[in-house]
Amino acid sequence: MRARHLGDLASWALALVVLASAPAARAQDPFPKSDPQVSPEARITKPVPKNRPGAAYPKQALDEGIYQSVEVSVLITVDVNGGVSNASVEKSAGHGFDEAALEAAKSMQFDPATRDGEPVAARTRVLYRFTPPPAVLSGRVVTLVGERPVAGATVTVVDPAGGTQVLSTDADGAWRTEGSAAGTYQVAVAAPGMVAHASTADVKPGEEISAIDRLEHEPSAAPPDAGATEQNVQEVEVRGKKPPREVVKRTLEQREIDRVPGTNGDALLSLQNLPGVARPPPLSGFLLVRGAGPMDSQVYVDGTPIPLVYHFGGLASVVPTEVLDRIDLYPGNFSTQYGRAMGAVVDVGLASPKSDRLHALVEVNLLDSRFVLQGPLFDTGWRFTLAGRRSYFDAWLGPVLTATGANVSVAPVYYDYQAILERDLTKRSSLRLALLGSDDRLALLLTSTSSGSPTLTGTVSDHTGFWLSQATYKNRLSDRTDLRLVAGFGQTYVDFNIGSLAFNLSTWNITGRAELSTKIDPRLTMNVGIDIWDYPYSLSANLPPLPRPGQPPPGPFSSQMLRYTQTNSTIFEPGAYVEWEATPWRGTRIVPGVRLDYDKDTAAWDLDPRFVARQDITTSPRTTLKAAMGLFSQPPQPQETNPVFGMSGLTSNRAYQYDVGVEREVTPKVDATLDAFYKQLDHLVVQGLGNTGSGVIYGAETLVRYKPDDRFFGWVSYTLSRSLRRDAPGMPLQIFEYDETHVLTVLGSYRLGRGWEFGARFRLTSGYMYTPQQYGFYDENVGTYSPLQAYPPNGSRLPLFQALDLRVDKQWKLGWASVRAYLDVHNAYNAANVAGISYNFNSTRSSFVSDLPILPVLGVRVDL
Amino acid sequence: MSPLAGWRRGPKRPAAVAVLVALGAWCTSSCAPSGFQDEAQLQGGVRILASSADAPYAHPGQPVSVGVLAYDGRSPADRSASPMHIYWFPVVCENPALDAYYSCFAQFAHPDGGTFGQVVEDDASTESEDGGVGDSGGADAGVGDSGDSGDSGGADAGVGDSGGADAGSGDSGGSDAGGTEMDADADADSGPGAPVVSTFRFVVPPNAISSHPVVPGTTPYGLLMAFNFACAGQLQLLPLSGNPQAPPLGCVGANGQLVGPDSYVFGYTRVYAYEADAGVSGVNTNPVVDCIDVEGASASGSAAGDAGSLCAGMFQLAGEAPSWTSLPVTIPGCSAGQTQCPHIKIGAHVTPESWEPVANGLHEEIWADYYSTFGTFTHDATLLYDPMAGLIGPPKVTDTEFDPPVGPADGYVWIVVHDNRGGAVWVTVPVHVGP
Repeated sequence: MRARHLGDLASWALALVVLASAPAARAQDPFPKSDPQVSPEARITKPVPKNRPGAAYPKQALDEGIYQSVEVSVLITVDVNGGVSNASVEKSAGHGFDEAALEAAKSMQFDPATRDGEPVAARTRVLYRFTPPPAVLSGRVVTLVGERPVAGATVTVVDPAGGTQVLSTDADGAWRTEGSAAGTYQVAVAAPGMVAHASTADVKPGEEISAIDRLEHEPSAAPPDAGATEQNVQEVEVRGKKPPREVVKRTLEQREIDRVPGTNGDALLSLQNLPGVARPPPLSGFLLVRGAGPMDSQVYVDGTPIPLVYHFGGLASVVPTEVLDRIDLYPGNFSTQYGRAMGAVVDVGLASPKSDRLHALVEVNLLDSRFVLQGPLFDTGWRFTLAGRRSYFDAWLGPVLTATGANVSVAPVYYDYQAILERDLTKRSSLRLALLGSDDRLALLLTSTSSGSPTLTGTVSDHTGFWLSQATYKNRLSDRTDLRLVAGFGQTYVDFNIGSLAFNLSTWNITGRAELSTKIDPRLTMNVGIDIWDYPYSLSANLPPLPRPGQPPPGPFSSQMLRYTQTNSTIFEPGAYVEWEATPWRGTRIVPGVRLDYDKDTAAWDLDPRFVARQDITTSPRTTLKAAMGLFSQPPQPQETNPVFGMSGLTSNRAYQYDVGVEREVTPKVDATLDAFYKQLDHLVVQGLGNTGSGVIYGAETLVRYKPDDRFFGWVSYTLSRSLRRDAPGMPLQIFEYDETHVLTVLGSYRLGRGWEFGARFRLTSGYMYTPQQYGFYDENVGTYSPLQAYPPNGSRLPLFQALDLRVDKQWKLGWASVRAYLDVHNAYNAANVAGISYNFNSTRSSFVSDLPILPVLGVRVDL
Repeated sequence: MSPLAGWRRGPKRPAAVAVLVALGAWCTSSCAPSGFQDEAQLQGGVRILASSADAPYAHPGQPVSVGVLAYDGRSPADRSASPMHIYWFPVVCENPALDAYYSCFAQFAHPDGGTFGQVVEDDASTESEDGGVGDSGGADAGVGDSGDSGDSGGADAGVGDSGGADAGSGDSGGSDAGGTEMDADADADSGPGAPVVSTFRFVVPPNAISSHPVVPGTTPYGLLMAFNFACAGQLQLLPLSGNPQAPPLGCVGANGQLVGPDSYVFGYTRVYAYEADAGVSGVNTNPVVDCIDVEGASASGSAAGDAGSLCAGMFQLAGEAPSWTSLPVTIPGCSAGQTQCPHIKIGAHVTPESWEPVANGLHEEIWADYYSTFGTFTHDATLLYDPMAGLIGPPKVTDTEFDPPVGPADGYVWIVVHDNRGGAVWVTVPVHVGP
């Protein structure tokens, strides 16, 4: 089915372009008339033009619907220097043609006329013939369900004159034809196993029309392997800031995710290269976006919140890149379909299993090994993916720990698994069943203790993991209405013990999402949905009180009185939203919406209005202005409302977000975006005080990106920001502990040929904030010093961080497989970055703690 | 992430902490920051090594005696020029806000705007015990009044009855300083300095528990904090600054300037108050050390434990809790130029009864800190009892290794045994390193 939205812009990928610099008119210079005052015996030469600047077909004429050849004769006077001293139109043609011709004529330069070798002024006539600029037809062919690109589809274009052009779509499903005359075109799209479709397009001179054709599968045909590239992997899209419903889309191909140096091909780690995303503390796994705290952002898998994101706090994502289809990052001002967060939203999409044949891949690197198997499930119509990964640094870390005196019961190990079953139920509907799981384990008995924290010793065990089942049903109920249902059910467990400290949590995860999207009018779409979280949980914890931000610790960690809780409760947070997408005129998109959430713990409702607007101000090249504003509420964390560790009477945190920006197609291959953001925070929950906190965040981020082609991809990203917090009225406004003023990333990857690819990434970021400490007090009960901390806290910053990561890939294509080896070198020039500060036992001396040194990571991957 | 991801932040993310702890264990013995002196080395500064209350958990109205072990590791010349004194705040801080020690500083401010020091000078009376050390330049008590000892108080003396430490109240004082010194004069001019033990006594106020805010998840308790200063100089009041942690007192030298960190220690000891019927949560006694292990050492006298007992092959102790002493031991030294120096295993044997139960099915965590006036240790702290696993092993497993200096030399080794609820005792081991 072809989606026609000419003039409606509901699903066009490109805006209209008016060519402004076509060679539409040329100057002609007939012989000048003779001057009767010149003596017939004198040698006279006429003026000779040195340049022939053309004139563009005037925009006024196009806007007024003048699409024809027009001639304008301009009489000019050429002075003795060869310049044009006077120009006039002999017969006006109107519609802007006169002005265009005069402007071009006045810019001409001549060798002046001469009489007996002496320059003389002369008049001459210049004729401008305006021809309407050609049109451009382009488009993209995707599947109806899932919108996967259809490569190799045949596009037959018949022009107004009856001429036929046959094109083939590329790996992205894209096609393009230029130099077309204005008029009505017949476009037919066909692909093997898919229902062909034909339509017409009316194109005006200089206009570029682009369309998305969505093809449905033939009932008896197995869906082709849509979207496969020559590397036999699926496309993974990482979008930057993405206002709802594809108003803005930054897409990074799977190749980009897989090849970014320094990330080991980890999709979620690659997010750190996008503007607005800060470098997190080591092994924290934090997502720090636009000055927000780590608990202010949410991560989803196809609309279902994921319990855990990283193994062991940040070593690797729990979902490997190979089973992902896209990663959407919404750094702020996200759609009403997401709630309960003040910061950012990451929505990871699972890839559809391939359906053409069985595919397999195996990869081995320094940290872990993984496999992926996918393909059609015999002739059942189902397609499947089966994937798994396991670490093996326990093989070498265990003996090392044992050698240092630790009794190792279970050396650190992680594994994860994914299983997907998918089927197109009808031409318009599909069903996907997915199972995800992750498990991290560690068990030690430490007999040597640190005198600084003597209770962080003894039995150390951690068993953290989850399993999550998800069912997703999509149905295109009609040409105007789409339905999407997502249900999730699973379990999360966290069992953590160090000495007397214990934290044991078991929770059932029950989530549901339903969204109905309907086109009320060609220019208006309404999206309405519900979104429910239900988490019955059982918790037992023996922990010290949670620290109060901004306050010095009450004593050494080991000295604090432990609190014990045994809690069985439920987190219940239902939500509902409605959103409208309006495109009242060409180049304009307005998206107002509102979201309503309820939180059982606070027994309160949150109403969040939001608004997004986009306006194309030029179409060739495209320049778009955008703006957004909205309220984003985030309920208190469970520990903040817990009767033992938290307090009652809390309400939701709030953030008012404002965003303005511009997008520009600098060249057909280069995009640039610039966004400025401002957030005002209030009702922030402060441990021990209540909703007394406030804050402000402001900054700007830019991205200049070279769109991936056969040879190269890369971008430059820079963020400048400041994040401030105040714990209570009357207290000082302090720099937020995760503030990172400057974040610069420059990266690129180039295919050298013969299977070689070379990439580099340079990062320059501000150092982490920290609170200096000095000689303080001696806690005699614990036998350790309690330092005197600077006040207010977070008043100092570590040195700048800089690192260059390099990556080399070599691929061999064998008849039956593709083998790729890579070397990913982190911190290639061994920059001595500072990860923190270490103090001696009484804080009278300090030294910097170095970040990771140069670290090469080898890997091998085989695709079958 | 699910909303319960917030729980995993807690004080730290458990998984990351587990990995960091594992890596930290990897570094504990061999990755100390370069150039930093080991905490176990006592050379060069004034140190407080331990404190012990005879009742780490006490009841309202119960008298409590707190002993502090201090050592002056400076040079003999410095020790002579500016001897170390032990000062005690004459009042005990009661139930500071958020149980934070620095919240006591605001308590100590006089309600009329001055500092408690003015009031103390007005109200403090001195009385020294028989054989007390007030005159010998050892353990003194009383703020800004060197050489004096504080009120003897009495069995009925409390520390403020207004829910805070109101200095100068009629019932204040309740403090009594006494102490013992060990051969201070004999060691005044040579060799290592002498350890100093100072004692402070007070009575738990009757309202100590009732005036503490109820903390969910805990058995009702009260918190009392006794502050002391080991100062090679004189104490001086300081104005309160904007930093809530900044103390109102400093130690000044003979030139009237504040001395450096090597010349003073500002310490505090917590004593919790529980009702008598608080159950295991309210019962806490100090660990009991009945003998020590010094491998390969010889000792004069009948120091060895009885054969067949848990102390067989180890050295018995003299003195009384919390300050135990072993007979002097002699260990082989490391000769100059010797590449293979002996590693002497040294540690304490703690009785199984010391591993007391706490709430929620757990037991105490018991560890030993090690200090010395010479030589080095491979581990300056070792775990003796794990809250879940129990006894880690016999002393041969839990001992640290002591690397003696080039002999002959004389010095001290201290083993301070802590439990994670504030209980502590220490053992002083005079060591002679042979040639």
